[in-house]
Amino acid sequence: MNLDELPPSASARVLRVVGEPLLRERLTELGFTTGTRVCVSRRAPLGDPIHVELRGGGFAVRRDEARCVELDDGSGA
Amino acid sequence: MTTGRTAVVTLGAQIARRPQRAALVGSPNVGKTSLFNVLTGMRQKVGNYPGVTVERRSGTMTTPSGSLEVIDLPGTYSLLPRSPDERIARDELLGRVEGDPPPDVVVLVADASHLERSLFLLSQLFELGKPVIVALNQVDLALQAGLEVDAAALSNELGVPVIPTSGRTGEGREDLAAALARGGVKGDPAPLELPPGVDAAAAEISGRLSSLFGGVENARRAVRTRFTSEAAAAALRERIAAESGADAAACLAAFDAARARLAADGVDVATATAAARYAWAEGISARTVRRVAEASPVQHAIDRVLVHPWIGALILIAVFTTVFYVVYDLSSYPIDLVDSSMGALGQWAGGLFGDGLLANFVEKGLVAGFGAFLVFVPQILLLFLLIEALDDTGYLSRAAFLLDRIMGTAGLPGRAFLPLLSGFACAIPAIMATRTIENKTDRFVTILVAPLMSCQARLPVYAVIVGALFVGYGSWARAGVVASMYLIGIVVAFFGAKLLRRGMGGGPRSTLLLELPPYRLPSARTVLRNSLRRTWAFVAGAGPIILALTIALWFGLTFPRNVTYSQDYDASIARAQERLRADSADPAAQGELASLRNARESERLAHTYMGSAAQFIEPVFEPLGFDWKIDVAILGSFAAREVFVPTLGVIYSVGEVEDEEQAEQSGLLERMRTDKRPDGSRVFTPLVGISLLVFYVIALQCISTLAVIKRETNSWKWPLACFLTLTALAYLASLAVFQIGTLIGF
Repeated sequence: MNLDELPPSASARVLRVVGEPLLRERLTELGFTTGTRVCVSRRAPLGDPIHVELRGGGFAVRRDEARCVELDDGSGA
Repeated sequence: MTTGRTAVVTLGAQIARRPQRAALVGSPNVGKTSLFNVLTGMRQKVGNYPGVTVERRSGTMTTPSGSLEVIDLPGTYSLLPRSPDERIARDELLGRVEGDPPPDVVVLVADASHLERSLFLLSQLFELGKPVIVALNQVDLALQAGLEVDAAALSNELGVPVIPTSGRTGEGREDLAAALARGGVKGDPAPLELPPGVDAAAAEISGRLSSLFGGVENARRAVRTRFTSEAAAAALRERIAAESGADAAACLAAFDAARARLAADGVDVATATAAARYAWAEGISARTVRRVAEASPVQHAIDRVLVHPWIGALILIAVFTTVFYVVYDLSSYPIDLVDSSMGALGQWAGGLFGDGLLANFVEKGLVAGFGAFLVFVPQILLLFLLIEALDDTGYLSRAAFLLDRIMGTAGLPGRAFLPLLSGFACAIPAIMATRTIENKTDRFVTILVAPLMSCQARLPVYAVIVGALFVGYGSWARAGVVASMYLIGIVVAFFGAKLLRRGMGGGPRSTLLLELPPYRLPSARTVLRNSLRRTWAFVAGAGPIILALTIALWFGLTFPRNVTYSQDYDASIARAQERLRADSADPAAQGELASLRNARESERLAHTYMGSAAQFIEPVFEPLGFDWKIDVAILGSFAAREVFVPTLGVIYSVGEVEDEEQAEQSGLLERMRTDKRPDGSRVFTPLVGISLLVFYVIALQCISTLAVIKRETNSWKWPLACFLTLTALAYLASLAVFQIGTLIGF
């Protein structure tokens, strides 16, 4: 599962960040590293962007960007 | 090492030279600028970095060892040079900015409630080898979130002084000043644990790069963190290409090959360094931050309301309607005050020089020129007070969050909404307000389309044209015409934004990744100071340009002076005055005097450079349906669109009129309706009216807007490009309206 599919109020751990290298590094710099717990607080009207909380802070992340964050949903994937 | 602040200070190794310059570094929303205000008070200088649009803020503070220059670097999450802001922050730290010596000490402004993110930045700072002090800021917000940071333990872990501060209350200012006087401490680079293979690869290539870094060991240390960072690797490649001379190609090939091998071994060469920095930060944070309470539920409760899908939307509409009301309506009182006092000042100052040319210059050129930019001050100040307050509470980011998708249809970010909304009041504060948009491409696109929002100054133009030409149409039809003008502006801006973004190579849209900081009460001091700073930046940056252009326009409307009139107005005026002296209540003489003066002024205007220019360009505007009289009004509008109606008044010999009501009373509208061309056709038909309206919607006829675009983009290129494009577009649109309208027999 990717971050853009995480339902509001649910939380999960980051498995890895994929996609274009510069965006991937930027997401990592903001704290999206393997094992970090992230939580989607809510979605904006029309479903985009989403409000993500991690490491004690909140970020607005567009769904396109959130799609780059793969989550560990316990399925072992 | 014992705990407590005394332990912290003993860490400050004495350095030989007294520090002269300190730089403040920190992520956005850590309260860095508030702390900067606390440190420097009103002793601040704001400017621009040469060649870029990044704002440069510096100030002077007093420390126990003397005065110190403090530079407030742009807020940045990382020191890797990607955006102009990050590049400037890095260049300034390395002393690469022309005319700026490198700072002697760097203050990392850390956010106590997200310490890990601040430590990430600190690990990059340590690698620059500068003496560092950590200002542990916003401790109050961390406590609200239930977190307590042990500053002494943190100082022990990091090996540099850690000073708890608050940009809001000013707490910690003295301690920080004392630490600055001692100069800070060079921290050891964080021991980053990179994936296996990286160190071996770095060691292998370090020999080749030893000259670049001054020694093999330095090269090895530098390369190991850059191998597995996309942005740092790109920057290093640039440097190798530029500085390695003949070896460059071989060096680059070896560098790329080593990275490719690591990638093949399963190392994420784009992100491993950043991940290692976080691993280090997590370790330190785990040992120094304690959860002392559950996080206060207040933050989430506020968010549940303010960012609620429809309650949040209603609140957003209410907030932005209030902002718009203040800028559009409430600001008219101080604006009128500035306007009338400058008018009175002009008359008074002109009067000091008698009745001649100099008096006219002082009143209509010099004082009017100052008035031309001072008149924007109330709107800018009011808008910024509101924007700064909303931003300081954290609400502006939420508004951007709510509006991001809608603005995204035009390729713009949510933050572009408020500036564009303000554009319906006036483009000047609107363009200034784009400062809240972080991404440069987004900001430029917003600046360039903001003039298309129909501003207040266009309303009297619309009203007079519609009032003069659409007689016999219902009031709904007239309102419809005016409303469509607003719509045309929005539609052109919409497609313009999309095209511009493509033209500027910005891709379909830049990334968002916008921080939603915790809510808090705005600090009156910060809000006031930032608003005043912005307003002053306008006055100092755009004011002189507006003054100069206003004087140039005055010149064009005043010279040449040796006009040969069609009749001897002076003699006729003298006769009318004579009759008035005999009978001061003679209404015929009063009327005659006024119309003689108006006729003389109209004829004089036709002979000025501006009048000649209008007649010269008449053939150009002919296909749009405009005659030279309209052209004079268009040229005059460049000073400000407000000038359109008074200029028409002068040309049609009714004297200066201000608005539609006066235009009706003075007979201007009637004269416009009945005015004929030499061939007997009417000058103003409804089709000419529409053509003229369309021209006014699109054309950038406002020197103040040009001046403020120059100020905000730090280059003449953008205002000129914007002016030429919009004027050409306005011309083509009006041409299409008039020609197609004529063809279909409108």
